[in-house]
Amino acid sequence: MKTYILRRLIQSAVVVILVTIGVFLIMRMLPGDPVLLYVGMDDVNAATTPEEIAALRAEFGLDEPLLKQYLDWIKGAVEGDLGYSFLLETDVADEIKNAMPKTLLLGFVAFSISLLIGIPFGIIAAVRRGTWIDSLVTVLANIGITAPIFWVGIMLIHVFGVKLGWLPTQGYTSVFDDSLLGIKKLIMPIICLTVFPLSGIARQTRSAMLEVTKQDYIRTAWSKGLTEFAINMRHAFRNSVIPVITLAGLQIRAIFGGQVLIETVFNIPGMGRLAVEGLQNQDYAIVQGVILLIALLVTLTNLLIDISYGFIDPRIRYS
Amino acid sequence: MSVLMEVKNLKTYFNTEAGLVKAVDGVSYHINENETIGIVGESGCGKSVTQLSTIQLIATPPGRIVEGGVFFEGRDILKLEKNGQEMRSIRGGKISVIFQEPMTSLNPVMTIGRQLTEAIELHLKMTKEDAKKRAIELLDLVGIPSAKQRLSDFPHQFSGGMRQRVMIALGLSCNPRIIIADEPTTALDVTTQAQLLKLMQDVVREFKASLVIVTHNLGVVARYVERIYVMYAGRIIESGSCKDIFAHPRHPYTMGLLRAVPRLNEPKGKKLVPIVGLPPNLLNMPDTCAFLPRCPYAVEKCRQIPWPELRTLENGVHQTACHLDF
Repeated sequence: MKTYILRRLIQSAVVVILVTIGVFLIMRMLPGDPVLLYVGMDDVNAATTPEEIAALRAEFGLDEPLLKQYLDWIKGAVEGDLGYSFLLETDVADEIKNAMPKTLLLGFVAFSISLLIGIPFGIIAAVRRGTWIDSLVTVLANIGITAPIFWVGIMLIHVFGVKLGWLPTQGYTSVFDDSLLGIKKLIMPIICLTVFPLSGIARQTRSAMLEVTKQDYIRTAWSKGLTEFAINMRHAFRNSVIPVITLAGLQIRAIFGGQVLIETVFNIPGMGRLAVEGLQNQDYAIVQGVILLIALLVTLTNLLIDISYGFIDPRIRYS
Repeated sequence: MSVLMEVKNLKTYFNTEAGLVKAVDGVSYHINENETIGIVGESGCGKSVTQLSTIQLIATPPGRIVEGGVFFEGRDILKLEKNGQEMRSIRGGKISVIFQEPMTSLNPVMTIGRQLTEAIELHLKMTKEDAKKRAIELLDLVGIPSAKQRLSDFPHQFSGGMRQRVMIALGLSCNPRIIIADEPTTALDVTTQAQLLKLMQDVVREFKASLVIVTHNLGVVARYVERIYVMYAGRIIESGSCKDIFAHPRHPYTMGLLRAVPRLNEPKGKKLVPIVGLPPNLLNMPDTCAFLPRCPYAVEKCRQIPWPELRTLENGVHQTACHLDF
């Protein structure tokens, strides 16, 4: 087990490094010049001379060979220094420190709701297969999977923000500063982020349960005279968990991806919006920093999920 | 000997996409106290469905018990609510099932101990500790070495034969009156089969329970059961004592089954005689005898009369559903 975790950690590190190299190269392959963009932001742009541009390029270290730039950056990253953003004119690490809690909060709440609602509804649909509740769950889940996240967002804003005026459509307020407003502002973004993973988890739970309830050991459980509830939870659900957890792991990535859109649409200063701003302005350090952290989070959750299999199913052993 | 359970005119039908399947179509039989009976027939003849129907273990839909009664301890237990408290206390408590397929009949993510104790706690109202002690005793009884340590093992750490021993322990765990063993030895090798059948016979005697062995293997029933019911296409077509059936089979189907069994006392090189043809499609059963298309003794009368009811023969016990005398 220990060697397994160690090996997986090393593998994860390799993946993360490859991701950073990929992002590093892609950012530099994009057309456009960040220094010119930076200079263009000043009012005095017309007066900037080529010498000044070259000086700026040297100041940001962009005149160095690519390999050295990358090594410098990764060396800094290991020490917690993610570079300097010429867009925001601050340290990227500080910027991420501000943005990360918002993103994690949104993601964590959306993920938890997806599990807490998706799993019970999947179980109910499977147990009451063929009834109206099964049809309802299945239809809603199919809609949830196919509805594009931005469409859900627009619809919510249109109905609850514009028509009914119940919820604010923009911005983020810490729930510690103003609980009610903070929660109100979170509702729509979280619904948007929840729809897809919740639907997927409900569907996966339903199909896994249906598969398991056909198994011989469920018939054995029935023959013991157990209650239907005990059979479904103790016997059937525990055997259905693995595909659900696997999908839940994939949904974590879907949620991070969705946040890029949602934070932009709802104007929430999180990592997703930071990444978009960085990308639009070719701010290398921001994009690299955000992607590095997301890559870390995703590989670590994947590792946790793989380890959890061993606790759920005793037949799975790691070597 | 008093009758412990009596099944009367049981009918279990399945609604399938292709149509109505009459899996069990008017089956009656009984089990006496301290008795071992055999239910014999080909795959798909309805023998397992009959047994599962008696404790209402048929999945509805698609299955449905349309008619009949199962009289046990003075009442018709088919009248009880399917998953109600009373039916559940009988299921597993008074009547238990040992299933075929030991490899898949135990929950893979639950320890052996827990799978035993959950039934014991439920039916015998024992505390966790007492249930655990009983589970150890049971595993000891069915011949699992170092039972105490193995309680925390999972099914995949047991071999097929060991798992079937666990299933037997499970079947015995709550002092049932009737144990239904549904093809208990199908997936096991011959040596293990013999050991386990012997074990079942011993423990059933010790516990003063009755045993129903459901099998397609005539060799299994010959040695262990007192009476035999032969099923074909959802009905019982012959019944009698073990001796009646083996020495003087009175239904062409039973005769065919026996001819298909290899015997050690026969000369070398003698060919086994299979029953030609296939079992009938239960979707569109003829009104005439279901065995007619395969019957080597069929006469014109067979084609004209409906499927004969069981009739009792001279000795008063032996019954056959054939109008011919052999």
